[in-house]
Amino acid sequence: MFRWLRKKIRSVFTKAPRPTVKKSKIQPPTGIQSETQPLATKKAALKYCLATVFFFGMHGILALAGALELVFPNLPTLVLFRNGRAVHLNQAVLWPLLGTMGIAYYYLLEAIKTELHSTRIAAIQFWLLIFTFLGNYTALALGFTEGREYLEAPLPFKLGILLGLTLFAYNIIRTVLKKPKSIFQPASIIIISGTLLTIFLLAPNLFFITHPIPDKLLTFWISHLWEEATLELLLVVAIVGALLNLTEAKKSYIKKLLFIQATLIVLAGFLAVGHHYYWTGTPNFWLYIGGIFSVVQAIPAFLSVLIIWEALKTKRIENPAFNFLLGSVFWNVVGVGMLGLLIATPFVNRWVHGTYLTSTHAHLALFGFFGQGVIGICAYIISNYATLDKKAIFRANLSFWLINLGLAGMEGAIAIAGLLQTYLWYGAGWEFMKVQFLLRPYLFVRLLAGLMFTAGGVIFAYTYISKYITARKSAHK
Amino acid sequence: MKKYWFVYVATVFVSVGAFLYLTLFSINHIASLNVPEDALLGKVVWQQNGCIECHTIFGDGGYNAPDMTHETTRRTGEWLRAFFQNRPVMRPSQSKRHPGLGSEDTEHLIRYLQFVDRIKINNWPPKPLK
Repeated sequence: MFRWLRKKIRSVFTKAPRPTVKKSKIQPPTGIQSETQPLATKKAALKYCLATVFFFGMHGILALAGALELVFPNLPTLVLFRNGRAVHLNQAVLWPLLGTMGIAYYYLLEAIKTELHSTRIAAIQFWLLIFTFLGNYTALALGFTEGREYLEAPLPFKLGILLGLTLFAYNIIRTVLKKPKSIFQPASIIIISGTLLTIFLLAPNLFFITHPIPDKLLTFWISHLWEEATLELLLVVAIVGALLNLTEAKKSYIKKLLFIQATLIVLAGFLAVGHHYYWTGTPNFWLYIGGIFSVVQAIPAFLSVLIIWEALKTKRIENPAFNFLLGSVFWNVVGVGMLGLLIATPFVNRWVHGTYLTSTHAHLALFGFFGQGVIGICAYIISNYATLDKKAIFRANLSFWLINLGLAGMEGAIAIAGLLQTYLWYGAGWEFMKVQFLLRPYLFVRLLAGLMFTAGGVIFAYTYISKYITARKSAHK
Repeated sequence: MKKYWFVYVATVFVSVGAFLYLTLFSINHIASLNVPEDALLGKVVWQQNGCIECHTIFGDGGYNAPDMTHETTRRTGEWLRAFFQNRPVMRPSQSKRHPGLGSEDTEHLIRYLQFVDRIKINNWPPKPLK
């Protein structure tokens, strides 16, 4: 079955010439069609992309406020740190969710070449989610909280998110049912399975859980399984779709790689949740299961390099969005495949658990890989509806460097802080407050790098949103 | 392409099934899912006050305050009651005080933290090397 893959791997390691492609498989050069399927309802994804880009810009600004307070704790604040952090964590999960749904809509339609079942539902879903998010952030900022990490959203807002996801699932399933045979397309089955599992993972988290152990187990259904399994499935479909738009990568080959990638993500991701269950009062076997499947999780991270390499070999359109895809793959390898795997190993984890190193990994994986992939694809989709002039392209490219260098700076500083915590708390047995004082210089460097990151984020959001507004104005003339 | 489809779908069922089975097994393995009433009320206090944003339990949470998993071993009940009564300044700030709790809430929270303390968690945190 995977004969062709084995051949390929063999050819990488030997100097053997590549097997020649059968003449019938050589396709005439079609050039790159940046919008291969001109379906009108793809535009339903546009508002998702614009809102995602906007929320991302805003997210950086609030994060700065938090970082500032940690370094200058005597500054007066509008929002208490503990409430601001809850907002930060919720933003970190919710704008990528919104973006993922938008780009999944777009690339599902593109893959199965069908119009969306209902743009009305997509619009209702969108506004429902926007109001839910804004209400949630306001409530959290005011101190209402359900007090579980990442799941602080008060119940009405959790229900709003659940309802939004359900509308999404309904809409995409009805769309695929318009052409039932298209269920066999990788995009369809992967997006549908990812979405249904996302809903299933959220549902039990609506309730108050009496015992602390199941409470922790269920928390990671969102903080791990959403990000490293179910939503990641939707993201990889969109990444492959975007690569097919941006490059001349061979469609049939990339689709096979997509299936392999998705299979690996599911195979590894679900049981790798065990790497959050090492010290939660659960049986010891999670140390082995979590450890082994965390290693397996590194495989799709490295496979994503192969996927983008295939695309890089061919011609491509110059679009700033492509940089963000490269950035996403980079952090997938470094933040997820390398750092993530390192800290997931049980004997390492025992020493770094509960330190800033977790925060380092969280930012590199959740933003560096996931969020950056989402905003990159959103940027690409927006550029289909609003042409970017030279200035805008310059700004978008600038924002790419500011964001990524800023991220590297922030997380480098925080990683050092985490290593200090590891060494001094667990190694040397120092008291908590003594260590906290030592960390301030690193939190300060994080603040400075965070300024760079946020500047990039704001420039990025401004560029794409203003270009869209300009395009709309001139369309109305 | 259909072969890949079947492998993918089969993997979904197998992985999700295995994960659910092992999760249920872990929950059944807990000595008793029964949480005493006052500890339960303490969990409500813990959640309502957003303690997890700065503190950690089992090492998960915020990194700006100590881990609370074994706090009731380190500190006596008296010390904790005084803490929530006096609301000390949170260093390095010179004015911001730690959130306070009423006496009932304090009692419940202490019971909850004692309950958490008794849970065996595989020798974490590690003992200092020195």
